[in-house]
Amino acid sequence: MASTEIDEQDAIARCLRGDTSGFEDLHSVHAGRVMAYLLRSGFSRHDAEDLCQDIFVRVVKSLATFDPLRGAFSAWLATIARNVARKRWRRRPAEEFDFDPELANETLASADETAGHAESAEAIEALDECIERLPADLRRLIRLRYVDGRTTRGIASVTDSPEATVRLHLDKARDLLRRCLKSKGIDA
Amino acid sequence: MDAERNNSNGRLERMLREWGAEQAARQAPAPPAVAAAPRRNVVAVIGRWAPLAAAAVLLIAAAGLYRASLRHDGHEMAESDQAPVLPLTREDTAPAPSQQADQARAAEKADAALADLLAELESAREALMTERQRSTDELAGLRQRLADADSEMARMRRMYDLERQERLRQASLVGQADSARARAQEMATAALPSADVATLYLAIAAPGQTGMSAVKAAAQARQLAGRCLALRERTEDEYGVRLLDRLEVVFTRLEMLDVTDDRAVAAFAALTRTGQMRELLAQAAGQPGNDDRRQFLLEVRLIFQAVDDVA
Repeated sequence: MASTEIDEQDAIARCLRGDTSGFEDLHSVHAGRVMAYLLRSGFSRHDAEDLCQDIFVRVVKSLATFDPLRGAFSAWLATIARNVARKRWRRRPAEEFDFDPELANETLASADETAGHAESAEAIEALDECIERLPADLRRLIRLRYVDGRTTRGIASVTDSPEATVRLHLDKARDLLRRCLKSKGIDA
Repeated sequence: MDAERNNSNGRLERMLREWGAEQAARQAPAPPAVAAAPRRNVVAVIGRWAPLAAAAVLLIAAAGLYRASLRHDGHEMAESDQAPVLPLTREDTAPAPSQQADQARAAEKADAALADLLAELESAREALMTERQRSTDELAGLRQRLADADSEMARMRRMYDLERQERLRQASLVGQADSARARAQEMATAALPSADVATLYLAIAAPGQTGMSAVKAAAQARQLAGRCLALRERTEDEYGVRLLDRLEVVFTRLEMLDVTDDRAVAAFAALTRTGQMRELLAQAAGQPGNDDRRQFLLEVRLIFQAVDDVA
């Protein structure tokens, strides 16, 4: 999960003492990622907000059980978030197949989990520039796939196109991105 | 070459996923931190009542201080009670100058504390009055909205009632019209010619005769059997054909009827009532058709009426 600018242990300790500022600090740092995870999991914004609040209520209730020696707070929070979302998923219809659970989980991946193969900030920045240069329709597909976390089926449903066409266009977008990155000296 | 391509794909995919996750987290709307809200309410309540609590503490402290100073004076006076009884001068009974100064300081402190307390209480009272006024205004607004809503609901209910009454009235009118139409049709089809008309008919068709012989003579004079056959040939509807076939049988029997034989007359009268012939005849008379047919059927009914009278 994102690196924290606050002193997380201090915020946890304050929260455990009943200091609301501790809770607010934890919330401000982690709520965005949790919301992104829920939205990428296919929940509507309204449901995602409900679930996010549910998750943080659970965090506060069981914060005393969090043991920093067993792992990062973000990983512990991710477990709670996944459990809450999974419970809600059981009641969900087939639209969940429109979203890629792997991509959703990556939103909650802790820094420890991604440290081994995280790309450099420069590479990501270059990629961002290349994506901005893509034609609007291809850029939309890339955002639907990698930002919203949709599967090709989900994209096909949103864009009202056949899945094969979506796959073809995504390949084309990736090719253009690869060439653009290469022109910037990044071998992708 | 393929492996290189796969590696390349893998890296681009990884970069895209990382980029996507960052974008998603950046764009995700942060929901309000509701779990902290109850605590904020507690803080607000504490903030509201803190001045009163402080005032109460100050009051208790001031009262304690004042009583302590009084106790101190009393204690000194009690000690003086145990001293040998000597004639007291005005200077002896008056407190020492240092005691006076202490008392004055204590009194000043108590006065100041009381003044602070009163100021705090006044401030708290004003805050409460403001809050009360706001609540009263809000309540008045809510009451007004409730009254408006009630009025609107009453208006809608009235409209609904009027609309419902109108619907019922229209339904009733439709029902009455249907009923009247059915009744008119029933009257037109089922009405039987009166006995007087039948008698008049026999008197004209068979003058000078009475009883069954008048019926037979009238049928012969009016050639009902022949007209029945002629109509039968012109009739195409199955219902009319069936009726005319049966009437042909009736008039053939009437032609051969021995009008002096009471049993034969009774059997003939019974024949005119079999197979719901009267009902069929009434229905046929009520249906549209040419004048010949209508007239023939009317005469048949007059004959049958006369048969009933005789039998």
